[in-house]
Amino acid sequence: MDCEKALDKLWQFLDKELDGESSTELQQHLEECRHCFSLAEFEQRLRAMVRRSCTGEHAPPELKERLSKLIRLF
Amino acid sequence: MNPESEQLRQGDLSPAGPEMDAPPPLSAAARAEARARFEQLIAEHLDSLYRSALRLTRNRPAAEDLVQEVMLKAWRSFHTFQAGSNVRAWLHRILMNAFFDNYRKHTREPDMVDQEDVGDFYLYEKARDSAALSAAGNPEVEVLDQVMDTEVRESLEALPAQFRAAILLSDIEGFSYKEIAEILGVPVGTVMSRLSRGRHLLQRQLWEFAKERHFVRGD
Repeated sequence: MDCEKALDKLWQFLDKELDGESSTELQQHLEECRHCFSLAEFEQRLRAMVRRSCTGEHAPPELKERLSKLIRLF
Repeated sequence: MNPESEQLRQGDLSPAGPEMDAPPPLSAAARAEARARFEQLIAEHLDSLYRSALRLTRNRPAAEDLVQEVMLKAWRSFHTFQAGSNVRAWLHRILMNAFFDNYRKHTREPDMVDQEDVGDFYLYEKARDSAALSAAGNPEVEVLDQVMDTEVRESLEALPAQFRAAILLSDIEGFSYKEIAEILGVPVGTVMSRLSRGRHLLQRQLWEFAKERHFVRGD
């Protein structure tokens, strides 16, 4: 697999949506190509950052209470 | 909001026809049992629903109203819900339908088509090209360290709603392409192109923050 193809498939790979064979080939390319490896690592870190920044919030207690009250009316 | 007068748009997740608005009559005991199951299910997924609602509506009161609307709609079609189904996907589908229904009534956001695409890995390339970041040694690490969580959320919220929805379902909630396609009622190919375009725009926005707040030379 060359860089162009690897980068074309990178997001699918990181999304765990690439089929077994392509995934193995891409993995292999990442082990051999420093540029693509570093880019893949970056995208992964970025994704982790997006996830972390948005998963810290919780539903406010007032909302929980409001919903519980409603459910009791069902 | 008047949920009683609204039509449910559940697609294949609930049967079509007039009967879908009203659950079948249940004995008091069966109803109490269904209510308890429903309450537990909502409690389990409330944080995830609320977070998604917050990213979509971009403000707390609207997010709370949206979650409440989702819960009412979910209860009305709860009798059609199969045990063992993907609850989180089902609830998110109701959430997305409710949001986009309200949203279309109040805004006219043009579909984003035919925009210039200057590469999928915008932020990485910008960071590598930045002299200021390179001086710090490891520009790719540096650029991510410089962006705050609030800026990430702001960047996400600045995206057009369709892209925002795809990204939050994938990158935050961790749904698969196929699940996202079902939740949004679009083909998998559309999910992939929205993700790609959305991530690109997100990276551009993050770069703006890195530039503005931290005086990275952006050229």
